Amino acid sequence: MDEYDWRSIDVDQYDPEKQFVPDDLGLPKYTLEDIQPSIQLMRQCTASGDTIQGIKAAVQSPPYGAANEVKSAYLQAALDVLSTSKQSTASSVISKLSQDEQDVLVKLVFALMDTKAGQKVGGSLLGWLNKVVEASGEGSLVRYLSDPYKL
Amino acid sequence: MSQSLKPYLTAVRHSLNVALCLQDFPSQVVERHNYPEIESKKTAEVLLNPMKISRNEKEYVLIEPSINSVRVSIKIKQSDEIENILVDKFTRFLTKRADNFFILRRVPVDGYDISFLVTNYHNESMLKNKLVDFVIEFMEDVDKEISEMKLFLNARARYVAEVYLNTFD
Repeated sequence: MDEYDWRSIDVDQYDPEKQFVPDDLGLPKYTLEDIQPSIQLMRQCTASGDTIQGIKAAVQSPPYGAANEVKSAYLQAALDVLSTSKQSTASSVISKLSQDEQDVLVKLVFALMDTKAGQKVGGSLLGWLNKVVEASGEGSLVRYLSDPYKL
Repeated sequence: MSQSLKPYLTAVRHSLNVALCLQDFPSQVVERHNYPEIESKKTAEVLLNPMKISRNEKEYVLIEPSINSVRVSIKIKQSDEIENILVDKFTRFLTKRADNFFILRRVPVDGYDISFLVTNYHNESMLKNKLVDFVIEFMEDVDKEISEMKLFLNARARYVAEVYLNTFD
């Protein structure tokens, strides 16, 4: 018993009245099969160099709150789209995205920069982030901060 | 400034600008207390999504915002063992004098070299854009400082070796 210091246990955290209940976002349980079509589409666009369609496919329906392997498969495909595209075309691509799509793009970039594979191509991800801010201001970053739909 | 450093610092600047919108927030857990919520983490609803901004695998910044405080942790570039030592000594020198730097955290967050903790009180007494400038300038200068120290160290080591070995001539 000695190895566990009971004084340091925070008993308040078990108080049923003080529990923080996150909102139910009503997200479906994504599986690898569910996201396969969008991953396929992203791969095709990467191969053909069609950045706009690739990014549109990536921001269409990301698997929010999915299991880690589902997320990482999705992020890998999105990373391929973002890192193979030319930085010089980024501004024109972003101008064709709607506000909501830009917000999801910011979310994707932040999620990717948290992964080892994303850090390797940090330069191009930073380019995308800065281009979004250049195009439509810091609003999408603000919306990212308080967004409950996380990748 | 090198080509790839600029987008990195720009991204950090925008993110800090966004994160540093702070307000007073007394603790909901303990009466008459006022914690930086990002440190106590007892009120989950006032913590915001963290932002990790990476330049490459060795250089990244983690910005953890909350309603009344922001924690900025920096991983400084270290490409070899000498730089590991230099960064360790340098950051220890600073964190020991954390009182004089106001926003410096005494202990860096796990996995990072140095951390800043900006609370709403700092934001009230100091200008927000100056705070952002300070962090950006720090990131810019620390790289220069470390590489300069490394050069000096190498030059000194070479001189010492020369003098020492000359005695056996």
